[in-house]
Amino acid sequence: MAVLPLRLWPDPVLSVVCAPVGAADVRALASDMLDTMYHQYGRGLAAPQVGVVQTLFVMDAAWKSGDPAPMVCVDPVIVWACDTRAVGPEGCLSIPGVTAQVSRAVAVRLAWTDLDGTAWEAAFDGFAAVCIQHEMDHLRGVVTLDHLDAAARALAEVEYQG
Amino acid sequence: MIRSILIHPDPRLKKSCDPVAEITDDLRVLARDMLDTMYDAPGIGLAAPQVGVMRRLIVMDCIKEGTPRPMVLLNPAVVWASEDLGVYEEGCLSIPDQYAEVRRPAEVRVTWMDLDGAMQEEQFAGIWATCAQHEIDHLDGKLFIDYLGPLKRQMITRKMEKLKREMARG
Repeated sequence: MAVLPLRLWPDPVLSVVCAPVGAADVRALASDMLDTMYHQYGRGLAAPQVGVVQTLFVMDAAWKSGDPAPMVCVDPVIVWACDTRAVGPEGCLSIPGVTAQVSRAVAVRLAWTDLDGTAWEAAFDGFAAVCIQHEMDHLRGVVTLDHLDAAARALAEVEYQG
Repeated sequence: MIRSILIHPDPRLKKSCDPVAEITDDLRVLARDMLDTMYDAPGIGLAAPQVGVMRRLIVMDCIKEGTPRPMVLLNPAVVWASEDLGVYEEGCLSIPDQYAEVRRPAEVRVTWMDLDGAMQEEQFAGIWATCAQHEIDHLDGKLFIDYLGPLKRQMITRKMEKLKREMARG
């Protein structure tokens, strides 16, 4: 078990499109990512946030209000997104101190592979749906700031640097 | 600049490649060289390990006549594949003059990063779908002959060993 150092925006590793994990063994990485996520008091963490450019994220949407239920999503794909969207505040472990208002689909269907190579598909709504879209953004080099208009982004960047 | 293409069997053609973590000038030069090398060969696709660079980068252009469409794909991923399969007689610049029919999904949706760092997504069909899958296989150390039966594969590998001995003798 190990808590990994977080990559902070504007680290270039947060702006690249990640490569698929495929058959590579990412057990140790996933375990360290979960340790890091819980340690940082986060509910989701994507591989590039610890400097690994592979399509993998970990999530536990409910642990702050219930028992831990860690999820490891390898090579995830959003196969469906609801047309209804909602705007809500989002933080990011890689952009500490900044909360951005981001519009997200209120429900998504995710397909992914677990650490045993088993394929899964499930629908998510509420916070989990938002978290999944946030983590999926990381896997294609997008952060919350990229969703803001120029004025809101400038303000957020000042807040971040301040 | 045209680079030399590795000929099978070579351990570098059997290895999984590392993702591209940053778009550097070296990477831009590599992409241009790979396109030069591919057009010169001539071929319709080339993967970085074929020129000895163990990075997840491929180039392709399957236009036979008309305006060329040179494509550079960094960290490419197949995110969807059709159930329908298609058969093409495939060849490989690392396995010169050897061709065999390979069955693969007829259509695939591929995501990748372009040289500007932007995410791209496109659905490929026909020869483009086959080429994309063939090149992405290279990034995981897989060759088209791995889809053939062991006898046919060994026959081709022996021919390549012979070819390399002849090339070494010059």
